[in-house]
Parts: sequence; C-alpha cells; structure tokens
Amino acid sequence: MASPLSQDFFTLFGLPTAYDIDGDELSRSYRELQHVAHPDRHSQATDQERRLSMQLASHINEAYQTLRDPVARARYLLELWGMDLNAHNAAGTDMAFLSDQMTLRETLAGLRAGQGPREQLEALLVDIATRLQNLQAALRQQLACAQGPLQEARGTYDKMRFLQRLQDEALDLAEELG
Amino acid sequence: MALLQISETGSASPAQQGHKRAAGIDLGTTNSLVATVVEGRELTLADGQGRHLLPSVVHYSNGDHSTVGSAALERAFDDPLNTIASVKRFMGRGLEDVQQGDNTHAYELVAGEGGMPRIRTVAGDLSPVEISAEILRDLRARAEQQLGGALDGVVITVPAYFDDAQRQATKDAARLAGLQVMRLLNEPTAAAVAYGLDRAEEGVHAIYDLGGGTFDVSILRFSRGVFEVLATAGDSALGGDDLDQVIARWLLQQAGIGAEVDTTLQRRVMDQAKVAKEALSDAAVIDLSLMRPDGSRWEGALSRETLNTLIDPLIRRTLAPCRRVLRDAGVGREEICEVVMVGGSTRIPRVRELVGEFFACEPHVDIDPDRVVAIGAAIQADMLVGNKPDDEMLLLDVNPLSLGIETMGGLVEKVIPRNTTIPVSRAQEFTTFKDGQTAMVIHVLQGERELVADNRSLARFELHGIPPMVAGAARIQVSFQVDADGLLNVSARELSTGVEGNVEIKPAYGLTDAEIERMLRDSQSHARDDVDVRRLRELQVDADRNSAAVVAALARDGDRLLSSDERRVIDEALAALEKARAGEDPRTIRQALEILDQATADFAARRMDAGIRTALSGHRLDEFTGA
Repeated sequence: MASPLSQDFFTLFGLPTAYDIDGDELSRSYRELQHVAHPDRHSQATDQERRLSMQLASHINEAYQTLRDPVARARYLLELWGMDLNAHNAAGTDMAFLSDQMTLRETLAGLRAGQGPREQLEALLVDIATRLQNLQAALRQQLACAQGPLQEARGTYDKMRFLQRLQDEALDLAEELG
Repeated sequence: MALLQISETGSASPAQQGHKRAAGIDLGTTNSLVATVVEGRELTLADGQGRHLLPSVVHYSNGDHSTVGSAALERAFDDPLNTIASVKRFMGRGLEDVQQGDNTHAYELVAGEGGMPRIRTVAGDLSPVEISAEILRDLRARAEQQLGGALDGVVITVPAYFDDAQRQATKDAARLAGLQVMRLLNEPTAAAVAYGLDRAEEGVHAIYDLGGGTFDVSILRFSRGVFEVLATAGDSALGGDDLDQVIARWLLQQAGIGAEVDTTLQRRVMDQAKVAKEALSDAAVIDLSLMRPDGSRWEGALSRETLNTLIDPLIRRTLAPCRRVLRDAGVGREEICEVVMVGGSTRIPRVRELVGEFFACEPHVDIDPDRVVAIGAAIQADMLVGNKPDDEMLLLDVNPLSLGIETMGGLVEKVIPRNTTIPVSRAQEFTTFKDGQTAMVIHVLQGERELVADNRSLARFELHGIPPMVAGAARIQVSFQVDADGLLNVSARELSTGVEGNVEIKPAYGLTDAEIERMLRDSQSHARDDVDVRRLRELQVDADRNSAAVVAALARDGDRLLSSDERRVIDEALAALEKARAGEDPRTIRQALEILDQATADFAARRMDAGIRTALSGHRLDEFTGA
C-alpha cells in the first residue's frame, strides 16, 4: 500500500473513485483516520511521530474538505483524470446558461440596490440551490468513471463554480441585511 | 490544605504508570480556575479558603512583592494603578489597540520594545504576559500542592476567536510560569467537552460564550466521542466588562458627575456597576449610592428594565457573529438542538432571553457557567498526558480567522480560509525578482478583508538562504502550517535544489525570543532554578518522553514491523540517549535525541501506515458484519 500521503483522496478514505460518494461513509472514514493520525493521539509520542502526525492529519483534513465540497470534489476528480482545468474549455460556452446567469446576476444587483423585498432574496437563494443540486446530479452521471464524458463534466463543473460564486454573494447580501 | 485522595505516595518523583499529574486551566478575563481529573472524576481545585475562582487580578507593591486573587482585588480602590485586572484584554494587543475606543481603564500604559504595551507599576513596566504569568504561577502552585508534585502538563484555554498573537502571548505566559502546555484549547470547545461527555447527546450544538472580555459562538457536532467544530465566530473585545462600562456611564450621568473622574472613583463606579448587574439577575430593582467628588452622596435605583435598555445594544452586537457562524457552519437555526451558555455574563436574564429567541430553543443553563471551561480543559489534559490510552475522545477544532499574505498593491491573498479544520497546511510558490536574490519577506495577516490596511498583521517571515539564481528561476515553496493550537508555522524550501530556507519570524504583536529569555532571567530572582538548569531539565523531560515512547512503540510493533537489523539500530540509539540523559551535558542529550529521531523515522511511518490500514479495514469489516 502506498503511503497515505501519496494516495489519491478517494483511496485514502476507502471510497470508490467516482463523483457519487456516500457522505456518511466519507464522514465515518474521516473520523476513523483522524483517530489514528490526529496530534492529540500522539502527544506523548516521539518528536518524529508528532511531526508525521501533524503532516498526516493536515493531509487528511485537506482531503476531507476537498471531497466534502461538491465543487471542489468535481475539480479534484477532473484533475485526477487528467483534465487540465487551467486550459480554456475547448467545448466553448453554453449560451443559454450564460443568459440565465446574467438574469440571476441582475436580480441580485437589483436586490443589493434595495429594489425588491427580502422574500425575493430568499427565493433567489432557493433557486441557486436547486440549480446546484441539478448540476450535482448531472455530475454523478458524467463523473462515474475515468472513461466517462469528461468534457461535458468539465462544462458542468464550470457552471457549478459560477453558481457557487453567485451563491456566496447572495449569502453575503443576506448577512448584510441581517 | 488537604491533599486530594489519590492513591499515590505524594512524592515529587514521576507518577506511577497510568497516573501523571495534569491540569486544565481557564485563564479568564475576570476569574481563573484550575481543574483536574482524579480517579475518573473532574473537579476544580479550591484555595485554602475553599474558593475555586481566582480573580484574575494582580497587585504589585514595593519590594518586588506581588499578590494574586482576592487579596489583590482588595487593593483596587486604594492602589488602582498597581492593581491590574482584566489583563487578558491586553494580551497580544498593540499599544494603539488598547488606547483607543471604549477601553477606559485606570492603568498607565507605556510603549515597550517593538511598541508593545507595558503597564507601569511600582514593580516596573510590565508586559501583560508577565502579569498573566503571575496568575498562572498561583494556579500552578495550587495544583501542585494538591496533587502532591510537579505537573506533567497542562491544557490552557483561550477564546476561540483569539488570533495568533493573543494565543502566542498565552503560551509565552505559561512558559514564564514554568508550565508545560500540551494544548491551547478553545473555550467553547472545552465547554462542549465538559457538557457533551455529561449528556452524551449527539447532534449539532451551539455554544454561546460571553466572558468578562471576550465573546465566542461556536457550532459543534458531537458524534460518538468526536467533537467536530463546524464553525466559530466572535468578538475578542466584547464581554461582561463592556456591560459594566455602559452601566457605569449611566451611573455617573445619573449622579451628575461630569468630566473629572479620578481613577479611584472610576474603579468604584465600575465595581458598583458590576454588583448591580449581578444583583439584577435575581432582583427586579436594586438600590445604589455613589459618593461624588465634592463629598455629597447620590442615591438612586436601577431596575431590570433600565438595565435591559442599557445593555441591549451590546447583546445585539453578539447576534451578528451568531448569524455568521450558522452560515459558515452550513446549518440552519432549526438544526441546532441546543444552546449551551458559558461565562458569568450568561446569567443575565436578558442575555438568555435574546439568545433563546435567536436560536429558537431554550438555552441550557444548568451547568455552572464559571467552571465548565476549566473542567473541559482538565478532561483533555488528562487524556493528552497519557492517563487514558484507550480514550476515544477526539477534538477537531478550526482556525477562527482567515490567513493571508500581502501581495502587490496592498492587497491580501487568502491562503487558509477561516473555519478550516486544523491542523492544516497549505503551500504557495514564490519566485525571485532579482538575479542572485537570496532572501525575501512574506507578510502574513489575519482577517477577512481585501486590503492589508483592513486586516491584522500577524508577522513578517524573513526567508534566508535561497540559493542564488537567475531572477524568476527559483521555485520557493512556502508552507503555511496551522497547528492544533491554532498557531502558524512557516517553512520554506527551494524546489529545484531542495534547499531548506531559514525562516526568521518578526511578530507584529509579540515578544521576541530575546525578550522572553530576559523575562525568564529576570524572574530567576523569584525562581529556584537558574536558566541553565531549566534548559537541562527541559531536555531531560524531552529525552524521557521520547525514550518512553520508543520503548512502548517497540513493545507493540517492534517484532511486527522491524527487521532485527533495524531493531538493533534503534536499540543502540535508545541506549545512547539514556546514557546522555543521565549526564549533565545538554548538547550530548540534544545530539542523542537527533540520532534517535533519525533512527526511528521509518518505524514511525510504518506504524502510522499500519494504523491507517487497520482503521479503514476495521471500518470495512463493520459494514459486512453490520456491527
């Protein structure tokens, strides 16, 4: 078995390497691993072990955070399967999606400028959440294995990122409004 | 003072196996406590008069004499400049921080080294770190007296929202007090531990901690012995003291006392305010009186209603972090199954009312809000010192503030976002912009804003020893590691050559190593050990720990994971260390430690790998057998 530090995140947690993972199982594996690696478990150990523990526990935290977040997980998997996400998406952009996004952005901008009641912001947040869920469902199909339609998956991922950013801004506004 | 009933001889020699002396310390703004676990029971330790709470007050008098606690508090009126209370509010803070805003206090502040505040007393210009160390020394003495010997380790709590400088200051104070800190534990997490183990109620909980000078709110998930902090937020400059101040201002106004308020009157009014605030938790109205500077007396009354009006704005200020923490945790209010109230100020009915309203559930008030943090710390201390090897408790905490680095144009680039589970490590690559450049400075900040000016400077890390190359050719990987105490460590390595950089830390709001050394030396006049003896002792403790750990590891896994040759190398290194430890030469011990370190590197890695494999395969087994 390769060192835990060099395994991919899915293998580290004993999960199948695919987008569709069981959240409960991920949490359980995470806790099992930290029970072994966490610095609190090595407070009376050798200096060597404590250093290793720090390294491993940090790595496990990083892995957990990545797999737990639907967008980060997609990115990780795409890169694991050889997609260069820094290169421009050759498939081009989905015009319908872009036009949707502009509408959503306009709504948000309007709400920020004080036009529209609070319920509209809540409705927008629900809308964004629903769209994200649908995209996640799509990814479960597209990222089922390394031989799947990765280009399509990349497109879905780009859309998710866009929406996630929008979601953050909408949540910021919700917080501001109290 | 009676010794606790523990089955020990009470001598100063190392404790019997399975029972080392550990304690948890709540170093609070208003009160401090020390607690321990004895025969499975957690208890706070009382002083000779049966008092558990130690007022966090230190009084200095001529002749280098200082008192801590109630005796010190008594001097607050007649000697306010030398009676230092709430020193926690000054820890890790710069001079400008403590001089501005509502910080009305009676002390004379002067700038010390690096612009850090010193409090002028008859005993000299003292750093808040030194003053906190006095409180810690007192608690240490109390614990060691009752446990019958030297402490093997402590866990000290800090507000979850404390930044790196404030945490480091706390560790520095502990070092001055001669304490071995095993962990800095966040106060809400400590409370959750004390509370959670008692109830064993799984689910998502909110901890609302309003102390004397700080406010924290944390969302935790408790599941099968694992405490996972989902998010934390707060205000490290908001607490009961601020409520007192608002009341004090009202009092002065009512009494018609204007601008000329001397320090003694200031203290008296604050004291009255505090008494009134506490009394109104039970009574609906309280009579008050105040002696004016001109000698006349004002008499009046404060009702609970008026109190509520006065303190409402401050309490509402705590609700913004509550909103933020729910969002960061990704949970809705409905998912919170209970709110645990921590800190003396949560006894105020209005606080309970507003918080209960916000979380839409009845706040839990049946635990003693003053003691719960120390108890939680004691529980963790007991585990970390090695008294409970089979304990399955695990605390997964987070960093409260985002860490970023200064980039071009006065902007901050976030490297580690807030509420990331710790320990955590992130790397960033830098390069040189001049031919032959061998050094660079990285400015690290804490905070959420985009501009350097709006965030809090943590430190400047000076990297030296970059191998000289053509500009832009160097690939310097800088690692930002936040450890389990929430403290940042930075290391650097040039990737193409593999050369490790030398990192020098210049903290923005901290004591340099040189200053601490000096403080340690200065305190020698009170201490029994001198610096060299102390250093030797520290190395011997290190040697003992490493030896014991290797012996235990060999016993468990030596046969399984090592060849006889490998085993021999380790045995030899162990023997050399044991021999060095028996001697008096620090350098020999240090060298022997290094050699043991290297000799056990592979063994440590194999043990960890095996542990991971077992954990996962055991988990897999559960699935099949349905266990």
